[in-house]
Amino acid sequence: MEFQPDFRHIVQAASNKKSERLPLYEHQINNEFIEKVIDEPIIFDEKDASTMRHAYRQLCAFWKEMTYDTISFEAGICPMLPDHGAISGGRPGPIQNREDFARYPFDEIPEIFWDHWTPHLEALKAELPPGMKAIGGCGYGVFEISEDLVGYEKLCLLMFDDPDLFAELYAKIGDLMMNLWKTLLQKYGDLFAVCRMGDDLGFKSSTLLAPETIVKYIVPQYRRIIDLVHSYGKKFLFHSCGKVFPIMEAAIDAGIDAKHSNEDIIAPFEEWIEKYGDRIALFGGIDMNLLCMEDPKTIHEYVLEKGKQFRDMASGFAIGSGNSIPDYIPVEGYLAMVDAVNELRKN
Amino acid sequence: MEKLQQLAESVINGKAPDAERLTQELLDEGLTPSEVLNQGLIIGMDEVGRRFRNNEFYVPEVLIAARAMKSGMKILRPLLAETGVKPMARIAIGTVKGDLHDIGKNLVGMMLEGAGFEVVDLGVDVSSDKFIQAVKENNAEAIGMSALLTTTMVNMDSTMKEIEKQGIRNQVKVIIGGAPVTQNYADEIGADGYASDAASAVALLKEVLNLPA
Repeated sequence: MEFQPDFRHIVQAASNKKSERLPLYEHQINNEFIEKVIDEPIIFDEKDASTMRHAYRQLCAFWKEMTYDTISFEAGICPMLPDHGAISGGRPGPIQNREDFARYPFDEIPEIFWDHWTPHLEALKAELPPGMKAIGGCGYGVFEISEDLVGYEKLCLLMFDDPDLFAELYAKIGDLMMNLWKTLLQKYGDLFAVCRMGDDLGFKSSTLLAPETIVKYIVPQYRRIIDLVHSYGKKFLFHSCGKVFPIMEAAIDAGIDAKHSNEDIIAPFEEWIEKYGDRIALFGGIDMNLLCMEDPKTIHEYVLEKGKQFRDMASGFAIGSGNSIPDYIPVEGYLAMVDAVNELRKN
Repeated sequence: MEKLQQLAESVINGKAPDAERLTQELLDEGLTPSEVLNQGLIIGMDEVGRRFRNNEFYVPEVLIAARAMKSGMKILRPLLAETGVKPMARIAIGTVKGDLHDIGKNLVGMMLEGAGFEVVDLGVDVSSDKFIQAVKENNAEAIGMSALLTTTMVNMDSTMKEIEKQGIRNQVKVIIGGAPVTQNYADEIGADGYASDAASAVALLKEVLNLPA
């Protein structure tokens, strides 16, 4: 029988309730990966509505075929920033000092953003299958945007060399994000079952800035966006990689409803559930390394065992990789995970 | 000596102008470059490493400390060379082939320099050949490989195999680190050690090279 998506399952999970059907969730599935699975190219052309609709028809069909209730979609902010790219390393960002900050064309970004993303959102709106909604929103988080504008190492130095500019930068990024999120919710809010921000704040052993710095400068900007999302009656999912335990209380206090991203080398998923499962939903659970390195049989058995355990332990839970599905994940391993989730659903 | 303590404090607090001034003053007062380095700057960076390991310091604090250390080293380096003082050892570091992430590798480089090692930074996307070249041509006594991605981590294994194939395994120690890397993986590929963070890399390198802690 054909799978019928029902976004209400993931809304239930994000509300920290046990959903009637265990939802599958991914932060992102890389387009090249999807092309490998469907054996067709996916072409995006912002100037050609029919090509764009075809691309989103393919994407929606893939997510439905893989038995997701939602399609992950983000209108990415960083790629729309003039002269961006420092987030990937190897080059300085366009803002290195106060003069650069004063000159930077923040006011032009919304127009650039909507020129690019409106055709995508219109195509998504036209092609969403019955019962399916998107999960996402404006892509990239407060810290990631600052990394892209300044560069991580320079940003660290800026904090000491010009603390006023450091503070103003985060307020400005918050203003920009609020502008974009407001329009997104006004025009396309109905497309989204759950809203989401991804902001990688940590690495293997710590956070990328001191927790008190994150709480002082970054979390207040989260709070503004979370309040806005909540005012539209939607739940807010926070995705953040790395060892971010020291800022989790502040993130929960700011109003996040759910958290995604986990790496077993930092902490087993059970630890996330034990620490926070009584207050927020937890999405993910299946470590990326497992999906990369293990054979399909091992993955299938692991997902069956751990998926049941996580669902029993957590209130709100959606299962999927601890991060995302990039193009280097073996297709067979990914399909073994999806297959195991469907077996779990039957039981 | 109180001024050496002040120099160490200037590194710990990331005060580059103070570190530069105090380095010069200590030299003017008759201390040797080695004494200023070992009893001032390195003592400061050791403490920075300890605090980083204990999550009392974060990357920004390490970066400003390394900047302060560099401002002192700018004065000391030519004097150390003149007097024939050799670095503790030479290590070539790089992010492995296919991987462009450099933050972790840069931090390791800063901490190692801060501990008195000479660091040859091979950059990102470093092939096996480049690591081997660093051993053969730059006489690197150790190699440090970093990877952020599970898929690029496997290039550590291929570099280890190439080192063996080239017959230079007994000339060089290999240490590895990065997000997906574990001690098990280090054992599996035959590396000499794994460090979970930049500060631990200093202790590890001293250990594998049999240098005093």
